[in-house]
Amino acid sequence: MSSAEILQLVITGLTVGSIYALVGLGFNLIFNATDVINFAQGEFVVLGGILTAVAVGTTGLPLWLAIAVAIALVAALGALIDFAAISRVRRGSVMTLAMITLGLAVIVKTSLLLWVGPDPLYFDPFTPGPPLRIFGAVLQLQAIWVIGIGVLVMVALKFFFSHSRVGREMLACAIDREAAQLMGINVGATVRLSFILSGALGALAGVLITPLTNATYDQGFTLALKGFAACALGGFGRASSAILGGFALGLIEAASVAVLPSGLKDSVALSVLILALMIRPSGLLGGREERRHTQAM
Amino acid sequence: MGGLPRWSAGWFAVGMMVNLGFAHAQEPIKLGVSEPLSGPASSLGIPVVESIKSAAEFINGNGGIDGRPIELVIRDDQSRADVAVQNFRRLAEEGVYGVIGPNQGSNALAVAPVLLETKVPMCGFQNTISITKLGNPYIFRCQTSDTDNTRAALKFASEKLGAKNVAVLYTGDAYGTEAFAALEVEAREMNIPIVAAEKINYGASDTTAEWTKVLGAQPEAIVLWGSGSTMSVALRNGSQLGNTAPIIGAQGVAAAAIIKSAGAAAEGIYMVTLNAPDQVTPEQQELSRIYKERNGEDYTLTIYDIIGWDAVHIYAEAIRQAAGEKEKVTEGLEKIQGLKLAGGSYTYTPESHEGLGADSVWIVQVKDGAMVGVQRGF
Repeated sequence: MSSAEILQLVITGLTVGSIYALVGLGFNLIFNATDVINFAQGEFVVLGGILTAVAVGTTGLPLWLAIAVAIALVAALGALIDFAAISRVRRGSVMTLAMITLGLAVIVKTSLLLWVGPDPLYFDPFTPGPPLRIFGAVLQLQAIWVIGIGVLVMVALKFFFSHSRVGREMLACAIDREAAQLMGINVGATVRLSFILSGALGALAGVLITPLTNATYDQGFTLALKGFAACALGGFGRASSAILGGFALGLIEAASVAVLPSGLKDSVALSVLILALMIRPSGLLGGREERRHTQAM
Repeated sequence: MGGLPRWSAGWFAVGMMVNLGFAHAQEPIKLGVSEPLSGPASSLGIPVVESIKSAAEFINGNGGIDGRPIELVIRDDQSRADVAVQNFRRLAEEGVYGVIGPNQGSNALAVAPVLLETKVPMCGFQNTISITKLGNPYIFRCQTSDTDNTRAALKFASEKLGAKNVAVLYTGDAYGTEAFAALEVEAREMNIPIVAAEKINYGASDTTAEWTKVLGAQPEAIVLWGSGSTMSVALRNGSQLGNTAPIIGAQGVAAAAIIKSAGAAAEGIYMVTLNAPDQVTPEQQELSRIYKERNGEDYTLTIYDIIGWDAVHIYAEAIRQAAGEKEKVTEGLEKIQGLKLAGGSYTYTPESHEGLGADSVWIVQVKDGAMVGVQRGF
C-alpha cells in the first residue's frame, strides 16, 4: 500500500470520525443534564439533513436560511420531546427515559418515511469546487467544514460547561438532581435547555454531513450507534472525549478496510467498542465520574 | 321424470350445460398481487402496482382472457417478509390463479415454502440469482437474472470499453454478494482479471476507504453492484477520489433517485438494466401511449411500469395455455415460448424459470442526468 493510499485512509478516517464525533456531542449534552442516553439523537441528525434538503429543493430558500430553519425546527422538536414526554416522567428511572427516547426515534423515523419516502435526499456542499489534493490524497471541502465546525463546537461546549452558569447548572443537575434543586437550580428548565441544544447540535451535524452521506429516513439508527460508540470509546460526559472517540472510531474503521477482508468495517468498529467497554468502561479519557457513569449505562 | 317427456329433460340438461358454460366464460379470473405499498420498498411497489392495474384494464378492455375478465386482488406486504407470507396464504385461500410479487429478494425467499403448500405460482421481480435455484417449481422470474446482467457488464467492459481488467465494488447483501460470485465465474471464463474487489455494507454512508483500495489496483473499469442510497454515495466518493475508469452499475444503480442525488458524479456512468427510457420498442408502444395520456407527453417509461405490465400479460398467456384451468397455470407458464412484451422476450420451460434472457439486457449511460440506451442484448 502506497503512502498516498495510507494518507487517504487517514483522511477518510478523520472525516468519518468527525461525523461520529458530532453525533456523539449531541449524546453528551443530554447525558450531561439527565444521565439519559437519548436514542432519538440519530433522528435529530437525519431530520436536520432532510429538512434542509427539502427546504433547498422545494422552496428554493438560500442554503444558509434553510440551515437556520432546519436547526430551529429540530431544536423546537427537542423542546417538544421534553415537554410532551420526558418531563412527564421525570421521576422515572434512567432506563424508562431511555426507552421513551427509543420510542420517539421510531415515531420520527416512520413519519419521515411517510413524508419524504425512502429515496436519498441531498444538497450541494457548502463550498463548491474540486477536493483538495495533499500528497496524492484527496480531502473533500465539505470534510473541512465537518471537522472545523466539529472542533469549534467542542471548544464552545467545553467553555459552556466550565465557564457559563447555565452550563455548570446543567452538570450539577446530572451529578445530583435533588441537591441541584435544593441549591435553587431550576432542574426542569435546565433539562429542557439540554434537549433544545441537543436537537440543534444534532441538526447541525445532519446539515454538515448530508453533502457527504445523503440523508435517508433510516440513517438515524446507524448514526446514533456510531455516535454512541464514539462517546463510549472516549468516555461519556466530556465534549473532548466524544471528539477523540469519534476520530478513533473513524480511523479504526478505515484501517480495518486496509488490512481485513472488506465488509467487516462495522463489526470491527463495534468489536473495538465492546473491548473498550470491558477493559476500560469509563472510556479512554475517563468519565465524569465513574460510579454514576456506569449506572447510566 | 314424472309426466315430462323425455326430450324436455334432455333439453333441460343441455340448457344447464350452456348456462354453466356461459357462467364459466364470465367468471372473473382472480390474480393476486402482493407488493410493498408502504414501508421502505414502497417506492418500488407503488409504481409496479399502478402498471399491473393498467395492464389488467387493458386486457379486460380487449375481451379479457378468452372472454373472462381479470380481477386483481391487491395486498400490501408493508415491505415485510412476515406480512408477505400472510398475504400469499390469504391470496391462495381466495382462489387466485397466481400471485405477482413480492418485490424484495428476502421476501421472495420467505414466501417460497408457502408456494409449495398452496401450489399457486408466483411471478417475482428479483434479479437475485438464487430465487430460481431453490428447486421450487412455483417461482418464476419476471425480470432479468443477474447471471445475464453480470455477464453483460463484463462483456461490455471488455468488448466495448476495451478494459483488460476490472475492479468490483458490491454491497454485502444477497443482491451484491451473489452478483459478485457470478462475476468471479464469468471473469474467469472470459479471462478478465478482477484486480480488486471490495464489499460495502448495505446502507453505508461513506465508501472512500473501499474506493482507495480499489483505485490502488488501477483497474481499467469498475463494476458497481448494489442498491439504495449507498450507491449514490459510492458514485460521489469515486469521483471525488479522482476515479477516471468507466463505471458499470447494476440495475439497482439505474434508479432516477440515485442518479439525481449523485449529481455530476453520475454523469457518463453505464448501467445494466431492463429498458432504455429514451427508446420505445414496438412492444412498449401500447404501454407508453397509456402512460403518456395519463402523465403527459414528456413521460418516459420506467422499469417499474414495464415489469408490472409484463407480469399480468405473462399470466394472461399462461392462463390461455392452461385453457382457464387454475390447476394448470404453472404448466401454462412453462409453455410460454418467446412471448414478446415490454421488457423483452419471455420463455419459460419446466427446466428454466428465468423468463428473460441476455437478449433483453440493456446497457444505458447517464447523459445530462438522463439514462440513454447504448446497447441491447448480449
